[in-house]
Amino acid sequence: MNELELLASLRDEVPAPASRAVERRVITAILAGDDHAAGRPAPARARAPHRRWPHRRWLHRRWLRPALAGTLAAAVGAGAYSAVALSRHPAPGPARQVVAWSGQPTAAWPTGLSYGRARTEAQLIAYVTRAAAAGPRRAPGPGEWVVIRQEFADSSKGSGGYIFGPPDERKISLSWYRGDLCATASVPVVPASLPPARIVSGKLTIDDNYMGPGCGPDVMLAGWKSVSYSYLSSLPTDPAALESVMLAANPPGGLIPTREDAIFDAVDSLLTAGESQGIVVPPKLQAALYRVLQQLPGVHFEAAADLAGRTGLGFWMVREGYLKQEVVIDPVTYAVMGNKDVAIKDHAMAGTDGTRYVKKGHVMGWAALLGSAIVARPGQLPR
Amino acid sequence: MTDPERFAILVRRHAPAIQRYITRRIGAVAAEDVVAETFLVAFRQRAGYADDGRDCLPWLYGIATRLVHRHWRSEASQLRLLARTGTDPVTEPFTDRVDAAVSAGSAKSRLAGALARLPASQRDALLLLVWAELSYDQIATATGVPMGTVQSRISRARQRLRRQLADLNPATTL
Repeated sequence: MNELELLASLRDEVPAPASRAVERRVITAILAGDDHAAGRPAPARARAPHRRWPHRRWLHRRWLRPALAGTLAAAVGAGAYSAVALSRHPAPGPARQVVAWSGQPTAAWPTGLSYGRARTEAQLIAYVTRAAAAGPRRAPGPGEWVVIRQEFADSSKGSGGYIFGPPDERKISLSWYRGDLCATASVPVVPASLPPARIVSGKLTIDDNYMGPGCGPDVMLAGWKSVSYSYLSSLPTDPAALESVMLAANPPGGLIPTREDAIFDAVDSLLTAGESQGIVVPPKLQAALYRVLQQLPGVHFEAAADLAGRTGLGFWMVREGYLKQEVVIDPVTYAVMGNKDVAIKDHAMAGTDGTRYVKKGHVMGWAALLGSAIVARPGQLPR
Repeated sequence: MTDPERFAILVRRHAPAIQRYITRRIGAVAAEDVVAETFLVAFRQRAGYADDGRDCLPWLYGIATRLVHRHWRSEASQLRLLARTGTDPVTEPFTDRVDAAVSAGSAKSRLAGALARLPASQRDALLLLVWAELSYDQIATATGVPMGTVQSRISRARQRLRRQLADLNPATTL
């Protein structure tokens, strides 16, 4: 019996409800036009789990279960009920709005100031430290939004946790995150080959019930008990002290065998998954994190390129003995500009549902953080 | 038929399944209010639901799952109690007292402990797959994330569970 079968048996003794009291309560309320008063107060938080940076975390540990998925899909389909015709009339306070949007998804964005192009690890640390000393970054206000532009790789051979074939499809996404990280907005992805001058018209979907990694008490980024700008600004910048903070929130164990793995995970999660989801990292913390990477045993440094073909500086570490996981830093703005995960030797990933093989050199994930900016409203792009 | 009347049909069709799923997660007492809220939220948000003939069950499970998050402390503490003592407050009302307790350290209690330690996003994806019996693309719809993310969450969660249960006999049953 595998773990899914065991899980299916857990609490299986819970029966279908014997009473239809809840149904009656709901139906009475909506027929009486009293749907707000009937249940409980309007939900304080009906949140959607956050999006991670496409193809980033845990790429090398992912599995498909096509057989099971197929079985379950068939089972659901047999009992499926095609939705009744629901009204398109506006309902009070919908959490998700869809509005018309047009813009230039690939047009250039303004870039920040630079203290020079870093070519070595030491130069990068020196420049980013100098930049940090110039003052804090502006964090978004409660009503402001952070817009993120990313390019990510997909494959014509499909993807599911990692890229199955050659990374031959490039796509660009635009996402907006409200300052409190509890609302998000997005437009459909476009091909990376879209000319910068091209204006695209589409739909902007705004979700006010988004569960971003920093929304509410359950922060979901490994190594960080909060990701608010004030908390991140309060952290020590001494590398050893900062490592202790990260280890306290992300202790080694299980899939994170060593303290170095745990620290690398924490830095990587904030700088890649975090920044790509609207979290603003204070410059002093950013500089401190680079210093942590610089001195962390097992982390290497090299000239690297991101998915968009830009030259950067990469910190990388080999994970689980076969995967080179790299964070790429912009040598001019010193911000994270991408990531790349490549198998450095043949590897078999064993699971209860079979074994998948990756060959040395297989690119398992590749993305570029093309830009971020603070704007006044969702859908707005920086000028 | 008015719009509320049409929605009432949807409630009658889907409330039992939604209620059982929520009950398995947080227990019968808390589930009642969450089920009611799920349908009231769905009713209020029906304008935002794309009425293109798709199965609406994933949409409802998505709302239910998000509302269950408000009870995450209780959900985790009940799982931890089962892991520690072998007594499950969720199933107790439905089980003979003699049968209710399992030994701490059994597959069930260890599974509960592993579930309690999963990040919420992974637990959601896994339980929508196994308990709600949604397919991967339906889970993507329910949770509002790309299918690749769903796959990775489930994969990650399964790997953690496997590690927790690694030394059990493969033929183990609950």
